[in-house]
Amino acid sequence: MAFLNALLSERIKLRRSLLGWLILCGGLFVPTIMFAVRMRRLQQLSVLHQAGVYWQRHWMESWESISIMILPLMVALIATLILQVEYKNNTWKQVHTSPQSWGTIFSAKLAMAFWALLQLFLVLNAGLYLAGALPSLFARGTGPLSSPIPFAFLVKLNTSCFVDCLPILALEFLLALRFRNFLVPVGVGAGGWILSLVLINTPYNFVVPYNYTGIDYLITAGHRTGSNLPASLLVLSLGTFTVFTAVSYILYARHKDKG
Amino acid sequence: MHAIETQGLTHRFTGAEPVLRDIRLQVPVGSIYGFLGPNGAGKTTTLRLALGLLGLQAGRIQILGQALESRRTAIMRRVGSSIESPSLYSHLSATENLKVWQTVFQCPVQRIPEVLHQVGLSSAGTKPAGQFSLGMKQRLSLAVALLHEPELLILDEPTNGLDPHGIVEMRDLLTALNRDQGTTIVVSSHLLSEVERLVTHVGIINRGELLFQGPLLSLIERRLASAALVLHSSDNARALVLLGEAGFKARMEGGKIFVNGVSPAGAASLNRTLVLSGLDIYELTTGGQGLENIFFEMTGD
Repeated sequence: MAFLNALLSERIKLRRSLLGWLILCGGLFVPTIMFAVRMRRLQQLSVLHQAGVYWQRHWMESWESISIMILPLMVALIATLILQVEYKNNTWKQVHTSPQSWGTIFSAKLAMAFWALLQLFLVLNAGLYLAGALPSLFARGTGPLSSPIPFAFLVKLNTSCFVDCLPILALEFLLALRFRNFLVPVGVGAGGWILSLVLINTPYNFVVPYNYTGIDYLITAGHRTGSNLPASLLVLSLGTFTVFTAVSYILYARHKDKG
Repeated sequence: MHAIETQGLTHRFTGAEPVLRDIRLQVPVGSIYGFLGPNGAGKTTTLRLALGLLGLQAGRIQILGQALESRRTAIMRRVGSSIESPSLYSHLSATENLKVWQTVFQCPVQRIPEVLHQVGLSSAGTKPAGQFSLGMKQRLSLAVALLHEPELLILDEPTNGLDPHGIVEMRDLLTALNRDQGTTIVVSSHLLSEVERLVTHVGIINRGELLFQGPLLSLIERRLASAALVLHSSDNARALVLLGEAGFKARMEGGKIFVNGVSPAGAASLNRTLVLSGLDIYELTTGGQGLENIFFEMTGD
């Protein structure tokens, strides 16, 4: 019950915050570009539809930049913004003098980060659907949505990518919780992302969690086998997430200055 | 029974001299306790320790009869606080700010308009808190602290940013809370004059040491004990001799006579002695130390 109340209060805190706009803009960035691309190549739509793999191709083409660029950076920003609400407003001391255990406060904030990430995925997918569906309304001779939507494929793609994001989320959450200055988590996020781009074509790409979404895409697209990975991406992601979350909670609960 | 009781409270920030030394705070239940000291004396650190915002390094803290370290969550359900600058979500309205805490404390929703009315912010319920003046933010902070009807209210410099009218209103509100609901209130301030008309008990801290603690009346008695009667007569030299013969401890300073430790009845007796001896009295006033002077003397300012 205390957790549920904490969760509800966290939701109120994020009303009209930048987070909603961030999710909307970040989530619609790639779909907007894809919409523009499809509109420029309207004549190709009927061919793609007839092949019956339009949606899968549409998603995979879009997912490349989403997995390599959008998700690592967006996750870093989401975690940072959720915790900056307290730092920016100088409200940690009020949170820490409320009748909530450290565990409740921590888990409610983490759950809000999960919820925001889920919202990002929903916006991404809704945007991609519209980016794929709307151009067919403008193309002559293209039966709108004639290709079947591969739901099973999309669920698998989204679920595995969501799990791949968790280590980044946990690490960024740790940094955003630990450091008042938002430049620390954002800077580490940007640095981690650049490092992931440097390492993505090396056998050590799994060392940087910011790479997991990209590696997952490359494996799904058939560009990599994933044979260099010491364990499956699922195990790596969940393991790293668990370690970062545990460290994050221990550091938070043991921190002597709480506002 | 004490609402706050600390023993041997000592605290130091990294590698520095202790900012608190063996603080033994005792805030009686039902009192309005003025926690006084100059800036940097250790007031906020003490209050942050009492609220669990700083890790306890040495000593013991009991709030409302329970050990803070083991019963923090249960204790905080009965405590309202506002520490240092107002803690408000600037993008949310006053009502939404209160809704955040109403959800956490699970107190009735109707408490939101009630506390807004109590602090005089009924008409500002929908305005984002970021657009509030400092005084309005202080009021809203107080509303947050009052929302769950706490038994103990801890307010750090609550009159910061308030205009004189606001200070009077705040004082009246706190007095009414204490009188009507029996709320124990701890108010920190660096000005004795600011809380003198509000508090029943006083604690004076300076450089991390508690210099005085007790009822305000004790402090007033201390003032009376140290107060001097100032006298100017037609023949001060003769008056000094007469007062000495009558058993008064008098001294001459700057052409006037100062007599220490004189009660109101003593002052009448002194006056009578001098008049009956044929001296004309030009001035007979109480001087010496006011409460503020005692405070300054204690804190060495």
